[in-house]
Amino acid sequence: MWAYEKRLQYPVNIKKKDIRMAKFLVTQYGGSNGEMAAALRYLNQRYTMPDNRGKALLTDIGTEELAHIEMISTMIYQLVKDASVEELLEAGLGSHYAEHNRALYPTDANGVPFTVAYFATTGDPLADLSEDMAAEQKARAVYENLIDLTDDPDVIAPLLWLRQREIVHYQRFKELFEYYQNNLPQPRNKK
Amino acid sequence: MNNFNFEEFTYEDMMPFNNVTLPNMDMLQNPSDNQMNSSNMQTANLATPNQAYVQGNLFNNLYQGYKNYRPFPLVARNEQEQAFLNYSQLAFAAHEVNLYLDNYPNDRSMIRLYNDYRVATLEAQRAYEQKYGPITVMSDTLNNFPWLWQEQNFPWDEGGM
Repeated sequence: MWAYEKRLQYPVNIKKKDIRMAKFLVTQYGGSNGEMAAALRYLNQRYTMPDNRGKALLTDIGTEELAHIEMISTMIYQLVKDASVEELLEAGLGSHYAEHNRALYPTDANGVPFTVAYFATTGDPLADLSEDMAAEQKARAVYENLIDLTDDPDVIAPLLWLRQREIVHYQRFKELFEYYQNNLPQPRNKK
Repeated sequence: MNNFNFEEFTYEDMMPFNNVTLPNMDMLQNPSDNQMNSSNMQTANLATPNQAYVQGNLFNNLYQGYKNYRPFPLVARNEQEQAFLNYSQLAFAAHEVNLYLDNYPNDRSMIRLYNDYRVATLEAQRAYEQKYGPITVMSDTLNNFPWLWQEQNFPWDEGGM
């Protein structure tokens, strides 16, 4: 089970409205390489990891990704909360307003709703961990794209921080991948 | 306004992050070592909890900057922010060691470090909650009237943490 902590893992305090940036940033909420996809991917894959080492790592990183969903959501919320309908229209979020007003909705930057088709589960730990490593690298790349799209330090600071987490998670998944590669009996994915 | 205030930012500030020790990837490239006894190398490359929290990475040898950005210093503007920062950075350091230990469960010195951070985190959490209100619903401070859980703003709202 999970217990909530009423705090962000890293502080977010955006003072300047930026609707266009919110429109881009939403991809790390509900896009294919976003935090929601990451959390669900790891928390869904963990059941069939071959030992408690893998179950622990996927649980603990998956849990951290839930906290990242909250950080990204907070950023999007703060970027648009004071926007007028006209401003939302100008930024291309008229259709978002029609469906959701200023509420959050997990989509990618093109407005395509979140889907679990963004991740896989094969039951093979090496295949699943390879996907997880790729997911961390793709999320890192998207964070870099997003950093390039803004000059607001209140936005850049948490994006740099989240980007760094992708690097650490990638490393941990890679270590686990190599451990399984060297230690699992053949056929390596059979329990 | 209880959130952290990032230090005044200018583009001149965006210098390469120079607080990083050189990568030492030896143990990471030898995962076939089942014991994974890497404690000496790891502890030598660890950031302080504050530095780790600011850069988002406890392991200096894993740190990779982006372009010429460097991590933004977090400056507490009052006692509450300082208490909160103290808690958050210790919790982060403990979490980083936790992820490491998932892969290297036989690293005695890192287990010791985890427990140092764990105990310090719990103390910092209790200290924060006693003064400023509950972070979790298991907080001792909820033995109060009225119900304190809604007292502090939620993290996405102004004044929230």
